[in-house]
Amino acid sequence: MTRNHRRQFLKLAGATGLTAAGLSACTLGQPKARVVVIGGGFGGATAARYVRMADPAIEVTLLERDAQYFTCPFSNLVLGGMKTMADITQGHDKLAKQSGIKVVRDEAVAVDPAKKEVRLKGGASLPYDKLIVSPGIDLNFAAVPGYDEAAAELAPHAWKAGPQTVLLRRQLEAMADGGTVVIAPPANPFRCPPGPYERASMIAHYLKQAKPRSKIVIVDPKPAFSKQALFQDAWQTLYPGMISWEGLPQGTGFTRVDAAAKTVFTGMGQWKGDVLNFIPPQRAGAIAAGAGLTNQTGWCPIDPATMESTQVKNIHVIGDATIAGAMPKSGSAANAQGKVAAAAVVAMLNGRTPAGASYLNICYSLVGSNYGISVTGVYRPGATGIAEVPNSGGVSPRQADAAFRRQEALYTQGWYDSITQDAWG
Amino acid sequence: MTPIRSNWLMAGAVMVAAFPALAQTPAAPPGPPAAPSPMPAADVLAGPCYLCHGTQGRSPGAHQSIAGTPATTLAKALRDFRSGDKAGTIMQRIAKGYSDAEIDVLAAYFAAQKP
Repeated sequence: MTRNHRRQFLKLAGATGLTAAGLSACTLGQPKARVVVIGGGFGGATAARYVRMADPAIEVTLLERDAQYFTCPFSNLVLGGMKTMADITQGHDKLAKQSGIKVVRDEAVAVDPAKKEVRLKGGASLPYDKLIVSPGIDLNFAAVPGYDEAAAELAPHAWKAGPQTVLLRRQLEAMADGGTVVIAPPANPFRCPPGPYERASMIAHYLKQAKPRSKIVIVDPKPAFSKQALFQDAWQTLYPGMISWEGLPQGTGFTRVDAAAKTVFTGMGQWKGDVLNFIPPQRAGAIAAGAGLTNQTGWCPIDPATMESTQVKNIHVIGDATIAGAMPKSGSAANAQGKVAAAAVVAMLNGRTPAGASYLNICYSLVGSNYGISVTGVYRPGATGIAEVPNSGGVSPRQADAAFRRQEALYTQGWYDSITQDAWG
Repeated sequence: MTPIRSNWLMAGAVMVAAFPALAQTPAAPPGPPAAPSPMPAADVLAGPCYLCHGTQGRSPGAHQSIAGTPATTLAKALRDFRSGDKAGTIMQRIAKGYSDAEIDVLAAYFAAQKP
């Protein structure tokens, strides 16, 4: 029922002497269809908003356990002292007010695909016709001996923005000049492939001003990383001698972490810092496994044309939790996937065939206050997953002048302003 | 024209000056890329552009708003980015992912949006 139809219907009901209370639920209280979205991050907020934009007769309920969402994008800028936590805080109020989304503050603990119901921690159940799951990542605290949740209080991962970001910033502030920061990223795949290297840059930005004798060591269990040449050029220009990268041969992982001693152990030796930022391996958010959406990799396979789970009907999965082929795990990717899932869900609920898919990823990294670099990719559904359009995308040119880098720094902020408004209103 | 835009043009001008060969010989192959999949609906094709240009092309920040821009202007800009004739930072790389038919659909879609 569209808004106009409903208004006419109410007018008609009034004219014939019926009251709202006298109408049965199936005429007035029942929406055309019910969509439930789990998770109010980049993917979930976008999907919820775009379902309502495409068809306001569909009821959308967004399930989010936290009152506020801290974006991982720009959390490295908080570490660098360029942004505050307030700058990276997004709320869900506008989604409710502007888009008519029912925001429920609770946590999904189980999904019953047969009954098409989500069970909440608070005890209630939410029925759905289509479910969109955007749970992000869970940190795997069982993956590396010595790195559990208690260890994260000593050696913060800060890979989910929030209190962990504040903790790492405090440790950087407390560190003496001449200290060493060890950053230990995971092997692929993980959330935000350029993130650890932007983090090293932003920490260097802070240390260069406040503690210029300090060093940053990245101990990396992979032989190469995202935008590597661009990052390393920038480090040489902006922070000469401050950042070193220790790429370990493929297959050399972390064997142990001693969080109290701020030390990581590998098959190739050990590294000790004054501050240790250990970023553990990751997997799809727990609800995804609980709902039967993950495969043996710990991530969720999807239909590249609709983002529908290939394992459970009527459930679409988006964002970092998915196996999205050539797409990285990023806020941009989750936003693009959220729109494809929303369009597919709206088409299906209206008895139409989903109208194709188109994806884009853009990851800006800020390396200094006037120095931005980017990687982008254009993607379409392919035979074996989401595939990159040949001969498109790529990273910023290695040979570019200061004006180019400054412009990409401005666009880093422009991207943040646009995507956060697009997702949260 | 906003100051942001003129910065961007300046960056472009500097780049072209530094790489005259690039400006004269477009790096892109002469023909548009083959369409890898069926044409998506216009709003689905346009959705990813909002990442930077804002919802339906209305930018809240540093990027150019493209909602309501004439379709011919947008289509030409996208083709020129794709061929390398128009300088930019990221759009050259993105435009290479779109066929002529897709560029025309995108241009018409954004031209029809309220500025």
